[in-house]
Formats: sequence, C-alpha cells, structure tokens
Amino acid sequence: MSILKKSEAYLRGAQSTAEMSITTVRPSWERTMTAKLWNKGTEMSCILITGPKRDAGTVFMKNGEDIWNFVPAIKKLIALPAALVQNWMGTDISNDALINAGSLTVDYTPSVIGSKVVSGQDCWVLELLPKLDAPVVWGKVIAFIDKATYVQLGGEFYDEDNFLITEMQASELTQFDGRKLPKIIKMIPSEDTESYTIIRYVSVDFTTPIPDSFFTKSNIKNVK
Amino acid sequence: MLKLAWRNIWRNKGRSIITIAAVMFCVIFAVVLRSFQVGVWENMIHEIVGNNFGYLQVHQKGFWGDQSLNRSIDLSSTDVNPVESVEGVDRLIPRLESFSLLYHGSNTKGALVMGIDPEMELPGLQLNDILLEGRSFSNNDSVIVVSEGLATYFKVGLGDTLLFMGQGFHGAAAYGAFPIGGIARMTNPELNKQLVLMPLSKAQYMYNCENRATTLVVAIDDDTDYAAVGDILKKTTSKSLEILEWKELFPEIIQTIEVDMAGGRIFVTILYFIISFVLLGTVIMMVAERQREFGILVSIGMRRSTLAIVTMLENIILIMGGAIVGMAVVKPIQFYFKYNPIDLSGQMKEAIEQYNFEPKLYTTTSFIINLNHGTIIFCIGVLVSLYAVWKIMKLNPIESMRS
Repeated sequence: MSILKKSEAYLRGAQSTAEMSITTVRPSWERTMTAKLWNKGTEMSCILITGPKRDAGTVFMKNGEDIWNFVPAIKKLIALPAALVQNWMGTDISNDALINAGSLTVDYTPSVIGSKVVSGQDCWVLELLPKLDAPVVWGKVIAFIDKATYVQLGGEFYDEDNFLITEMQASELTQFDGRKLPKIIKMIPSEDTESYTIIRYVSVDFTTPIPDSFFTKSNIKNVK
Repeated sequence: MLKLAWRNIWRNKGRSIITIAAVMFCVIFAVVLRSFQVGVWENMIHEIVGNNFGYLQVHQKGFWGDQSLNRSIDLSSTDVNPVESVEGVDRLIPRLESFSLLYHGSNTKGALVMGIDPEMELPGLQLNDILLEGRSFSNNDSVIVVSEGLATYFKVGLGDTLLFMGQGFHGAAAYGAFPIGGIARMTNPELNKQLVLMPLSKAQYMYNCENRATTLVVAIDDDTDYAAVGDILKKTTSKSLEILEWKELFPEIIQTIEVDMAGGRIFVTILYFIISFVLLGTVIMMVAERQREFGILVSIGMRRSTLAIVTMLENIILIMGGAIVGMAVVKPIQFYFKYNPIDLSGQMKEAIEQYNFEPKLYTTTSFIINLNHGTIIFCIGVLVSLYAVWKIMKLNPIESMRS
C-alpha cells in the first residue's frame, strides 16, 4: 500500500466519528463553529454544524460523486458541484478538503520527492499531481507524512499556475480512541498573514459502526 | 441726456412697447427652457438621492470602494455621537445593505437587500407612503416588503415566502426564508426592480452582522445645506469612518447631468442666436424709422456722439425694462410647473423610465437662472444696439432727411 493510502487509512480507519471546533481568525474578528464529522471509506462523509445557533443544523454530505448541502433556515437541499473552489462557510478550509477529503488518493497520483523534518518528525515529502480529467481544485499538493506513524503533519496546496494558495500544519499529536492523531490542524491562506483557521479535534471515535444508509439524501435532515 | 432719452421713450410708446416685449419674451423663453432642464434634475436628485439614499452617508472607511459586509460599521464599538451632534444633523439612519439570491418555486433572481428601521427612515422609504398593498413592518417583525418589480417577476403576492441565499459577514452562510408582508413601489425605477426591504434586526441576523450597519444615512434638518454639514463632518469625524456626499456616491448621476446640461447649453445657444436677430430686427426698425429725425438733429447742430449716447441710453432703459419684466413674469410660470409638473406619457415615459428617471417635467424656482439669462439677454441687447450707434456715427444728414 502506498504511503498516502496508509496515511489516510490511519487517519480515518474503516469509519470514524469526530467532534471538533473550527475557529476562523481574521485581523479584527474571529468566529468559532462546532461540528460533527462522519466518515466511512473514501466515498462517504458527512458534516453537521452544531453551533453557533444561526448555523446549527446545516449539513454537508458526500456519497460517491454526490455532494449535498442541507440548509435548515430555508429547509432546502442544495446540490454542490464535486470540485468547489470556494472556501467552506467562510473559513480557510476549501470545500474540497473538508467534504471531498477522500479524493486525494482517488484523484491524484502521488510520488515521493524527498524527506524533510516537520515538527520534529522525519517525514516523507509527497508530491501529488491530479490525474487527467479528475474533478479537482488543486494543481499540485505537497504532503508531509511522518515516516514512523504515517500521520500527515503538513501540506501545501498549489493552484494550476503553481502558486501556493493554502498551507496546512498539523500539531499536538494526541491519543484518540487508540490512535495518535494531530489534535490541531491549522489552515493558513498564503495571501494574508494575519488570517487562518484552526480545527481542534475534541473527540474521535473509530469503533462505533456507521451504516451506509446514514449517508443518504433521505437521511440528511435527520443527521444528529 | 438721460432726460432726453426718457422723453424719447415716451414719445413713441408703440415702438418702446415692441422693444420691451421682444426682450421680455426672449427672457421668458430662455428662462422657461432652462428652468425645466434644471428643475427636472433638481427634482430627480431630491427624489432619488435625497429621499432614498440621503445626501450624506457615513460608512466604515473603504466600504464604498469594496461594498463588502466585512467593511460594515460595528455599532457597538463605534462612537457616532460626534456625527450626530453636528449642527444641522437630525439623526443617523442605520441600514444594512447587501445582495442575495432570491428563490421562489423554480425562479431565482439576484436582489438588493436592505435592512431598515422603518421608523427612522427617509421619506422615500417611509413604507406607509410607498406600499401598494400589504402592511409595513416594525423592527421586530419577520416579514419583508418587496418592490413591485420583484413581485411581478416572481408572480408572488402577500403571504408568499421568498428564500434568500447569500453570503454574510466574513463568509458566513446567509440563508433565510421570509413571508411577503407588503409590496411597495419605489420612486427610483432601478430599486423598484430589485429591492427587498426587511427589518434591520432580521437582516443583521441573516447576514451574521449583529449590531452592524453598512451605512449610516445622515438625515439633515430641513433648509440645511448638506454640503456645509458634509464639510464639517469630513473635518471632525474619526479616521475609521468615511463621509461621502451624494456626488461622490453616485458620480454617474453627475456625469449624466453634465451631459444633459451640455446638450441644454447648445440648445440655449441656438435660442440666443435667434434672440439676437430678433433684437437686431427691432433696432434696425427703430433706426430706419428715425433716419429723418436723426438727420434733422445732426443738421441743427447736435453732435453725433451725443445723439449716439442718447439713443444708447434709450435702448439700455428699454432692454433693461424688458429683461426685468421678463424675469418677473416668468416667476409664476416657474412656480406653477414646480408644483404641477408636466406628466409625460406613452413612449416618452417609457424611454425616460429606462434611464431611471421619474417621467415628470418639473421646473426650478431658483432665481439665479432668471438673473443669468436676464443678464445675458441684456448684454445681447446692448451689443445689438451698437448697430444704432454705428448708423448714427456715419449718418449723412442730407441723405437721411431726404429719405
């Protein structure tokens, strides 16, 4: 199995349920959302916003190539395109990274281009180039993966003109349900030094099974 | 000599009256023409700018260039007292303005969303005056008022719900569903096609802009010069805010006015040519009539220059009289059409509405126009009278007496 697949398998397990807070920081303003995230394999994922109140109940769901967004304020289900360039809910996380995360192994061809020490860990440096016809946002992704644990500790996301758009830094490796994972993931857009988004994992559960029927359009209004 | 001129005027009343009347009508024509042109603009600026947008607006610095909710004013931390306490400022009207995609059934349309506090608003947004049907809302209500054009586009009526999809403060999702409580006709045709009014507090919630406003409209006291208030505000207001006059907010209106005024000036210039020849006609007539009289006066020893000065004085008195009478007589006409504008109809109306103007012709009552055109016509009259001087100076008494 390739380094990238091992890394993703380690991160997700067969399925996972995670709770997190997402803090978006701007020069004179910041906002924190809380969310719950479900994953199963590379094809199924779901995010529910649990706070603040005005956004609570908003659901993003991916199943195969379908991506849905349920908005409780207007009681509407909105279909989203597979590759969304826009950032997610005003954060620095791309829609692609969050909802479509599994597609890194599917849509990109990885190759090891070297080694580098990141956060004190000896890491593989992987260069990921999109496959032809893949519905992707990035022109190139560089991933730093810990040689010992296969945890991804950093990433750089480039556009098709090879400009660095966003940087990802993972830190505070913590035990979650028997696996050592970064507790904090920081997304830093390269154009603005004072803005960033921090994802803090509160809990991750790899054991509770999630039925496939959970990730269906008809269930989207019942996600809790 | 003045006495002589005065007597000459009364000697031939008919001729004097014709000259006065000619000048008078010229003044009336020119003034009426310009009054309509300026009046239409004055009215448009008052209706569309003054009553809808305000002559002065306060924003967070940089808002007008960017118009993003991210540059809205934080009302909880911004001290607006220095603005409110300036002489001539009546109140500050908070508004939250943004865009949203509207949904109803399978129709969608982009719309301008304006969160307002109806009790504080300017006359153009006094809901009770502009509602076609339905009712106004208070700040705590959860209904919206849509413009006539939007209601027609979506084929919706009172009680139907419109869905809003947009982006709020710092990229927050801005979704909402609001029932239509009223349908209004906006005086500004552009707004009438795309404006949605909602209670300020609801707009703030939807756009995640709690306690924020994009715009503070400065309502100024009646009979106060907004430009003077604006100058004071620009000097005194804190650096984090920008004070903009309507001329800076809507430079396209100024440009449109300038283009229109240039066209108007060409028209007035043509009118002046016609006026010049009319006046020249009366002077030529006068000189021809008095050939014999001039000849006799010169032959019995009156100096040509004295005669020329007397004739000139006569003309000046007549033209001045005509101009003053014209300026006075046109005044009631100006007032009449200011309050009873000419309503345009048919194709003309549609054409003008396309340019977002109210299809009515108003006049201005500004006396500057009367004075300007009275003076211009007076000067033309004096210039034309030089013809008489020229004729007198090369007068041959013998020939003129024979003629």
